[in-house]
Amino acid sequence: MTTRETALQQASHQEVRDDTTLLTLVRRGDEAAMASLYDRYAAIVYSVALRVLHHPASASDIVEELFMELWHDTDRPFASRNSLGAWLALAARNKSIDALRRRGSRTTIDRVSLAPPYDLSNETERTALAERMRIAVTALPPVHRKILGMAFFDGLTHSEIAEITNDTASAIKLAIYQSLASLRRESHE
Amino acid sequence: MSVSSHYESVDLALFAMQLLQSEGHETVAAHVAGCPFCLEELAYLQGDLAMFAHTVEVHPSPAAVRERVLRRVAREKKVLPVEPVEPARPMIEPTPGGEPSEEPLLTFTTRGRHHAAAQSKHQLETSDPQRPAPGSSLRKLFLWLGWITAAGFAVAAVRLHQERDRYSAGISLQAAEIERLKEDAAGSKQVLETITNPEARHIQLSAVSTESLQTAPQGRAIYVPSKGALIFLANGLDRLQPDKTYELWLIPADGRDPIPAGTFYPDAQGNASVILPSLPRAIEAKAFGVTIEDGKGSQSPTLPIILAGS
Repeated sequence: MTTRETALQQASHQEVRDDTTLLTLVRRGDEAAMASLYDRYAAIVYSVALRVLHHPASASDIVEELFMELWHDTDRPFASRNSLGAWLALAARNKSIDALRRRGSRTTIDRVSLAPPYDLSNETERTALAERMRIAVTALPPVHRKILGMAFFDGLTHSEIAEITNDTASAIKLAIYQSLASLRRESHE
Repeated sequence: MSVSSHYESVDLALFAMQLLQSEGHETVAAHVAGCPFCLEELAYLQGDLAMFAHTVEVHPSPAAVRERVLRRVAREKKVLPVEPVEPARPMIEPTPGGEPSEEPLLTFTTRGRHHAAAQSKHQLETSDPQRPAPGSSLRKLFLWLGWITAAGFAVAAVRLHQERDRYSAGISLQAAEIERLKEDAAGSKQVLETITNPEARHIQLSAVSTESLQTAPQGRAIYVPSKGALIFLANGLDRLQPDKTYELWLIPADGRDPIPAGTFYPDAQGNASVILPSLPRAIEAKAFGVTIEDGKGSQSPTLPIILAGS
């Protein structure tokens, strides 16, 4: 066993491990590391899927599908950055929207790295971030908040939202842009 | 949508949310693949969206899903790539002059005869091939001792490796068992807290129509809105066809659509339960109902209602 392997093995038995270490172990077939990643992120994956689908059994299916994908294929952009939590949250949302629309995956995020401003593998930081983001979302104008929710969690296009809200498509796009810009400012502060 | 040089952030945001029409989606994907500027902005946007995703109310993933995933992980072992092994390098002994000889001096013995696999020309001329050179017995002994020691180490290493794997597997199993017991204990505690919670609402559900049923089914729900905790017990239920399932519904008091609260199958005696399904918190319930749905359940109730109570 090489020094690196020994270090990884030792790391696998530590209480707190970063995502990169766990992913390296998962790539080598370490089931305990996979269980650690599951315990770290299953709740957010399930919660996002449940928010989109409003159906516990379907949300559970998304969780299973996503984590089995992670088990079989760790060579994705998140592997090189500490962005697994962000990737999983977004992948859960996209898979749920695909399931909602009963269409095949468009796999946008598989080709692109994510640039979250936080280390989501740290539970304390993750909880603090979620709280700050909730406050930031609450601070958005109610109409913007509703539009962003309709686009992100309901998967409605800006044209569909415009029809529902009786507004123009360009106004909806502007609202989405301003909401995201506001959230970005908050997350980088 | 600007396509002259770079896409606007909002168009990339719609792309990231997969909200563009199929053709538009492919066009942006093709552009982004070759544009570092848009690629970087897209990465930031996806980071922003991921942050937004984290604003959802967090529900624990059902313990059964964890068990299912980890069982599949154990069953679907990964095929690890075999790392290339460097070919063994020939051993070259230095010549008396200090320079390495051009041919290897490695010797071996077969059936009592001593052979020179390859020797330098000088040695071939000065030594008798049938007669061992002085000190060669000792050298052979050390050579064999070396091989025996190496073989011993190899066997010990294999045994250690096997033992380590066995211990690792044992530890993993024990850890999983402890985790399961902890989850069971937490689940039991939550059930107890739900039942004894002073805010708990107790709802009796009765059959809406008993015409097609052999016995009148009935149910009882205990619901704590502030915690989204629900326990439901039913009896007298008819057995269903294999492709059908009972589904429990929470009908919110604020007029929203019914929320699915879990699917279930009755046992041979017609008893069934739904224990602590994942429900959003702070939803005041106007009523509960039970319907029969296809397969894994539905996202909206299908009439007729079998049991109802408010």
